[in-house]
Order: sequence, then C-alpha cells, then structure tokens
Amino acid sequence: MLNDMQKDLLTELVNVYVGQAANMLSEIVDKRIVLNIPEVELISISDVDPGDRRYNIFFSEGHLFRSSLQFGYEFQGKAFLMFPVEQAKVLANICLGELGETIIPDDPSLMDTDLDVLKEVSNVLLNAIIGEFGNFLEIKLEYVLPDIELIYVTNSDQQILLQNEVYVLVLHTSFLLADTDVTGIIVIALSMNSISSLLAKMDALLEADHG
Amino acid sequence: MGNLVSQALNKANMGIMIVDRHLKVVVWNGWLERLTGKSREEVVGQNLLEVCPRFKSNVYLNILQNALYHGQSRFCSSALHKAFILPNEGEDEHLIRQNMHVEPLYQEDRCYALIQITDMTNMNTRVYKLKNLIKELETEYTKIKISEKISKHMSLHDPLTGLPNRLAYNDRLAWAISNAQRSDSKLAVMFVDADGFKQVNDTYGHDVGDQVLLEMAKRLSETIPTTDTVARLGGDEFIILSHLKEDHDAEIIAKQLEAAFSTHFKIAGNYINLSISIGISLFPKHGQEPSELLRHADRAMYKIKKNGKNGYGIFEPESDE
Repeated sequence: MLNDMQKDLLTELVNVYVGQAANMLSEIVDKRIVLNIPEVELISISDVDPGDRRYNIFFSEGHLFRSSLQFGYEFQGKAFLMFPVEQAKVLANICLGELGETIIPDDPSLMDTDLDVLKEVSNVLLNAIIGEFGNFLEIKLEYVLPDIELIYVTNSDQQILLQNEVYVLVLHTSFLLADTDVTGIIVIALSMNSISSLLAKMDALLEADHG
Repeated sequence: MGNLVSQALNKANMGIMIVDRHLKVVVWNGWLERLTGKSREEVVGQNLLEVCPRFKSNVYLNILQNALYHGQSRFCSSALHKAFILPNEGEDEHLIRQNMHVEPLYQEDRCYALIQITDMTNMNTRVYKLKNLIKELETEYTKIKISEKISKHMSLHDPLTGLPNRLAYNDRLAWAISNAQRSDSKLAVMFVDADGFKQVNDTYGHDVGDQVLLEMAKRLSETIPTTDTVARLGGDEFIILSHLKEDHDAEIIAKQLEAAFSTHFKIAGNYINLSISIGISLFPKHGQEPSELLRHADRAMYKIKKNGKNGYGIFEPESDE
C-alpha cells in the first residue's frame, strides 16, 4: 500500500524514533543497545503471504510475548510489540545483565521480573514511536500503559491475533547487543482516518521536498 | 467525599504523589510518609528533586517531562531501576525494590504527573530464590543425566575390558538376526575360550591374569572386522558376532583369530603363551534364535576343548547335539 518513496520516508522516521528509544534503554540498562527497523510496511493482515519468512511470527505455532499500547484522540490505534517467547527471554536477560544464562528453546519460563523488564522496554519503545508519530502529525495523543501478555498461538488462531484491525503498519525490529540479535515485530493498527492523515502528511512532505 | 478520598489515599498500599509542571509536590500520601519518615506538611510545596534526589537523574527527568508535556505514561521496573523513594535513614536501602508508574493528570489547563510507587521487595526476593532453585535443579539434573549415562554404560559393558557384556551382546545378536532375516544375510556366532587360563592365574596371580584378559580382548577386537562385535561373557570366555557373505567366511575369521594368538604375551616381564578354542554356529543354518545359536557355538567349542584345544570347530548338528 505504500509506494517506495513513502516507505523510505517512514523507515527513516521510525529509525530516528527508535534510535532515541534505544538511547534511553541504553542509559537505563547501562549497556549500549542498538535498535534497527530495517523495513516498514503498511499492509492488510489478510494479504500477508504465510510463506513470507518476515511474517513468521504471525504464522508459526508457539508462545508469544505481546505488549500492546492503546493511543487515542485524533490519531487512533493500538501498537503491539511481539517477540517469540525465547527471544523475549534473551532480551530480558540482556537488560538484566544475565546474558550468559542458558535459554531453553520455546521454554516460556519468564519470571515476574522478566515481564516487568519487558513491559518497560516495550513502554519506552512504543511511547517513542507513537509519540513521534504524534509530533510528525502535529497532533496531541493520549497513551495508557502497555498491557503485556504471554499467549500460545496455535495454527488455527494465528490470524485472530489482529483480527479486528484491517490495516496495520508493520515495523520489523531488531535489537543488537553483545553478539545477540533479538528480532521481533512492532505492529501498529491504525484507524482508517489515522492512516489517511499519516499518508496525507507524508505526501505533503514529499511534495514539498520535490516541489 | 473529599475526606473519604483523602483517607483512601493515605491508606492505599502504595506510594502516591502528584507533582506539577515545576516539579513541586502537590500530593504526598501516608504510604510515602511511613516509608520516608517525611510528613505531608514537610513535603508538599517542596521540589521533588530536593525531596527525592534520585529524580535528579536525566532518565527520570525525561520521564517526568514526557508525562507533563507530552502526556506519556511510563512504567519503570524494579528489576532495572531498583528503587525510587528511599526509606528513613538507618534502614537498609539496598534491599528495597520498587516499581514506578508515571501518568499525566489534567485539571483545567494545568498538567500534573501522578507518580505511583509499588513495593516489589518481596517479589524480587521470591524471584531471586526461585532463580537459585532453578539453577540448583539444573545442576542436579545434569549430574543425574551424567550418572544415568555412566550406569547405562556400566550395565552394558564389562568393567575390566570395556567390551560389551553378555546383556549387550544378546541385544546385538537379536537385532542382527532380525536384520539378517529381512536382508537374507548370514551371521556367525563364535564362542572363544582361552586354553589354560586357570594355570596363568595360578602361576602369575590375578593381576597378571587380568592383564592377559585385557591383551586377549585387544587381540580379538583388532582381528575381527570393525562391523563385527566382540563381547566378554565372563572369566576367559569371549563371544564374537560376525557378519558373513558366505558360511565359509567364518573359517577365515577363525584362522585369523588363531594366528593372532600364535605369538606370546609379554606381561610384567613374563612371556606367556596362550592359545584359544573357538566354537562356531551359523545363522540361518544352525538356528534362528539367539539362545539356540549360542548353545550350538558353546557345544562346538566344548568339542574342540575335548579334542585337544587350540583350534576351531563348526557346529555339526548330527554329532554335537
């Protein structure tokens, strides 16, 4: 749904936002965290090809860590940060300085403290992205704290994850720290009005650049 | 109503404070009074940074600014931040763990930040203990797995020579027979017994006897093809399972085994000559069952012993039964 110019602009924007979030996280955990969003897409979940590896998280069975943050008023929607649970565990361990500990694949044994850490990480990240979208669109937003949950996704209910959201902005994320590469996905479900205002603003900006 | 809200605020089991855009404390509840020993009267109207020095750090100033100016809510975990509001002097602040929620509040045109502090000390202690317990269990589990592996090896191997024992041999023979039945191939079971081993033990002692058995195991293992199996049944009795192309291949192997024992053993300065007697039964010619093949090989070996030892013999159904 996004043309190449829009895609490039959006990728650049979100990378500036997550860069700020990464700096904040680095300061909190006292380690350098690099955060990358290599690709941004605006898609309808029903159009996603299950064979496309970038969307594995939607289509593979297993435990999933999901944090969601509702935001509202003029720019409305819900942002989700999702990791396969073992990736979430690695990220929590990185933040807690317990990197050397063995992670048993697909073992969803996240402790209360791990969940709190992940809640904070997703809070910082989602606030940064949503907040900067608000700045970009020059509108006021209201946020709540993120809800976190561990869910088990089976083959039959993968698509129910986002069933009510028609179009979603998908940000493929990657945390880089100390030889680890934790990959997850940020999905921002936007109302049709919000999508229109985002596209309109981007087009205006691109037009101004070329005009 | 105002009195009720005020009572509830003071009885809430968490720290609740509200600061304005200048970071002046507007609300300071009973929980915070009890923790810090600073009364509401002392704190309200003061700057938060003076009351709680931890908020001077950039991280927390940013969080407060984002709430007061951009309406952002923020959660800070005790696992990463430890504590925000420190207790009365004299109490050990290092053990204290707190979560913090910061939320924007609005009244008329003014914006405030609501700061909620939850005590997580007990939860952190529980998680710490649980993590230690998990580590201990993992260590125990690894130890059990290692000892299981050792026990399994010991239950299937002879402790002196390290060769498979009778149990392991029976298992391999049964497996080889079922494979051979499917692929229509041939096997030989060879019973090998040292001639005059008792005399070696009596003359040189058991230590030398054990060395002889070790050397015997070595020579047998080195002579047979790598796909075949040699096992120790006990004492000076060994047994070999050979895969054959033709029945007469068994004789070729038997001759090679005899040749392997034609040179003396040099053990602890002693030169010991030891020959072997070999009894052979063939699959499928002499039987289909492991016990039957073993019994027939034993018979054939017994016949060699009876007829002067140092040789091999193939089971003959008519005369050996």
